[in-house]
Amino acid sequence: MPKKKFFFELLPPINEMVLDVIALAANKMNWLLFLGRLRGDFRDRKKEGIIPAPAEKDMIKLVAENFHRQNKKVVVILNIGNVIETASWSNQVDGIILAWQGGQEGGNAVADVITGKVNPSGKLPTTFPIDYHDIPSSKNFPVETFRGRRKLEWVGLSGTPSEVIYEEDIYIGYRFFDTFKVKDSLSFRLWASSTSFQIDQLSADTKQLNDKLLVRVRVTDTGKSSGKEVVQLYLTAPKGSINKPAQELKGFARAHLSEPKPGKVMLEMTVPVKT
Amino acid sequence: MRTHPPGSLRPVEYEVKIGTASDNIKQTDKFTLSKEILVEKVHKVLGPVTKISVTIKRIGPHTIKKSRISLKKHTKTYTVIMEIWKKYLSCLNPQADSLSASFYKFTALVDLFLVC
Repeated sequence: MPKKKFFFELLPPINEMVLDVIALAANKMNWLLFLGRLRGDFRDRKKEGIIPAPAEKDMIKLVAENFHRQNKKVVVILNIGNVIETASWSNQVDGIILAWQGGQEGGNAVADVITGKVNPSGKLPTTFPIDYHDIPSSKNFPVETFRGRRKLEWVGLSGTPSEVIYEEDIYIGYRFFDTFKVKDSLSFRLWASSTSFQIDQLSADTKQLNDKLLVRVRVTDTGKSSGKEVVQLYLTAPKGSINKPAQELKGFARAHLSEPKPGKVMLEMTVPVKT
Repeated sequence: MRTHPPGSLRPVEYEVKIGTASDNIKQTDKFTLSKEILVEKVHKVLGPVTKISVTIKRIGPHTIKKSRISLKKHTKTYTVIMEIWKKYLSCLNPQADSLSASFYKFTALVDLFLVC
């Protein structure tokens, strides 16, 4: 490792280790492949960080081919805190676990999911696009710097004057993908629970509509094991004088159906309204 | 797009959707109201119609000099502050550093000197 010039200096990444995949595949173990990204504040993400590097794609392909040849499974664990491109490699592996931002207990949480101790029920807070350019803000990022302006070198809190136009308007995340019917890469179902659920008996109570909209729904565990399911409530408003997305998330509730009798549960969700 | 003005007395139809994701809707229900309940207005500041012009005053050596007024030269405090400033300028890369990276380096140096 190169020596740091000062304590907080960010050092360049360490080169990838050379893997003897053929020898590893000959062992009895299945393979867990970790794909990570730095996450935090203070800087915008680069396009290159969203699209896996050729070396990462090659590693996934190499590992998957050799382990599948030995009839072994390959699972990719995404140790990320934001979107990355998955469409080009997700069909090469047997499973994907999104660790997201688990903090210091993240490793234990992933181990619990892998060993079956916990039945995963998390939902994505964002949409994974098939292509980077499917994201509407990709037209305007990175920001355009003003030509002819000097970078302000004298002050610590300065940069090159620049501007960005938020051209995507209200169509952010799922609002864009749903309204304009753009296909996304990783559906929420990919991280679905190991059991299955049935959702029915939806009823919307509009009697107290000057205050709230009350929605009831029944969730039934139709699988063989216990689990949790997050039910989401979307509302489509009538078209008016302003643009509106096709649907908007207005509420959610978690159904916890535990063994020995998973059974059924009624969920209630309220949407505050203003007349 | 426009079918009726918001807040009109024309009946409007809402659709409630229940599912496990926005692209995995399991059940839907509709209800009709005498008027629209969700009143939304777009404030003029949210809809820019002209290009935004940004003017940033350049803070140069003059400002820096002004901030030195209270410091007597050749004192220990003066030497430490100048040392931080020189170190900061030497490790700054104007071509590659973003705004946050510049700030990060500066705060890192201040931290380092405080520890020392």
